[in-house]
Amino acid sequence: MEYFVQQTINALSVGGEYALLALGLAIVFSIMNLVNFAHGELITLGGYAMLFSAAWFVSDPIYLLPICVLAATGAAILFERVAFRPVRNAPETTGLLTAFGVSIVVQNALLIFVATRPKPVPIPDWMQGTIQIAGLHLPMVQVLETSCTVVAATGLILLLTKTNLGLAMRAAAKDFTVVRLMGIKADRVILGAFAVSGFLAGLAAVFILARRGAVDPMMGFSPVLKAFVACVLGGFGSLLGAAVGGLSLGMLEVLLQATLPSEVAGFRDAIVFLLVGAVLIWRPTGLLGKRVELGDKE
Amino acid sequence: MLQLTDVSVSYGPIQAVRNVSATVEQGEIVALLGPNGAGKTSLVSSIVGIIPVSSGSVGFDGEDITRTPVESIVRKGLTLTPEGRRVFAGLSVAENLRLGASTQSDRAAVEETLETYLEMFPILRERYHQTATTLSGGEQQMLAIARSLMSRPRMLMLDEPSLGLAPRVVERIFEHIVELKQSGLTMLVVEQNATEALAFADRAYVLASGKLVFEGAASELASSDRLMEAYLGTGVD
Repeated sequence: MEYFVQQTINALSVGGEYALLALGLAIVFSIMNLVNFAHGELITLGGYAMLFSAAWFVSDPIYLLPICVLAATGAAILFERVAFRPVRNAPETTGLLTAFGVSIVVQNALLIFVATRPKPVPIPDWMQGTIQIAGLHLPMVQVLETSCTVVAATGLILLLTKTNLGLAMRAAAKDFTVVRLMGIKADRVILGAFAVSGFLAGLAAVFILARRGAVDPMMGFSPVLKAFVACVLGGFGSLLGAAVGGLSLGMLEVLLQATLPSEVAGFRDAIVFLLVGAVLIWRPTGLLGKRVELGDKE
Repeated sequence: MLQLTDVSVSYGPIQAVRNVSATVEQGEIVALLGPNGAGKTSLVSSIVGIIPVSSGSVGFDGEDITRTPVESIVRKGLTLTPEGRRVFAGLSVAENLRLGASTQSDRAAVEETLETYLEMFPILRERYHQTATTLSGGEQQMLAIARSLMSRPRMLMLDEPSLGLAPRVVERIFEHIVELKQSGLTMLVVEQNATEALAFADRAYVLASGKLVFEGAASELASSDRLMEAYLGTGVD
């Protein structure tokens, strides 16, 4: 029983992490048709912000957590302002290449100016421990991550449905030109989307770092890849699809982790991708993706 | 109110609009007519800044808006109800209208404007909480017009408001346009439905292959079979 609950909460936390990252990718994609492959670098920069803050002025690691989230949000806003805004009206491939460019620049700047090897980042001790709920010992990180995901998703829903910015973002996902015809500033909507994606990435970064305890320049690659797969699995462009895709992917991984015999455990990711591929053959537009005929969207 | 001077619009090497000069005066309804592909949509899209003007200039209220971004032009009081209505699918009628009022900060005034247009288009009040996609074509057109009007424009450009609608519905839309004119709104109406547009327009421009081929009083064009036949192919019937 305890094992089952532990695995469930593990699955939810990994799934939640992928969902947070996938939502960030999806929200930017839905508005700008841009797959922001520099999304992983937001996690990396959040981590390095923790590293530097700890080295310079922060003594209690608890303050590093909001610093991580703020740094990722700030970095997302900066990417938009410096890199993506100048190519906003260029063909979509230009945006995609820009994203790769940003990613390479950040990775190499960290390699050159900081270090090539992983650096340990202080994490509050209580996050590493376990928490006792109803007589069950559960890892604190996983419980926190699951609840943070729920809170963040609720917050996102409120933002999208109750605020003017959120309404504009939803409308922009349908028809950006007409949103501008409403007199809504394009810059503000896009900046909002990037800020939200950065915030969600920062939140995920806190838990990624709590798990690995160290930063390195390439650490953003694997998470952004998972987020991308989650988006494809759920249906690209759909926010609900991103959340569902992220959750399914994470849960699938944990399920395989828990059930695969040890000889084939090394093939876990390969098996996951195989299954994702099978889903896409069955539903080419993803689990929740709608079939769009060519030319439906101008 | 609106002055176009030698406006050209190009898509790469293809010129969609060539050296068009035209004006719309305060309080007028001006019809912009012409066959499919004449460049009418390109022209109104470039006026409002959706696509760039490649040469020439656009003035609104004496101010040059040739390179002004869309959202700023709308804030100055000039807006466009785009071709094909383009209501936000998946959003409710209420949300569509709320988005239309984005430029307005005075909440009481927004409520008042909303009331005015729910009065004018009662069907929107009836469908207020339904998603826009559940509306019929005519209802969507009314929503698109009301959404544009929520920004309290001084001049409205309507791109093909009759597109794809049944004749009876078209008539209702045109009645609303006349009603809006009586309330003092200046309008530029793009239409393929020339005969009917000329019935309510004060003046007309005819565009063919990107060039202006006629400008003058709507009545002059409407009463001349020769002109109608020559420019619009609809004169003798």
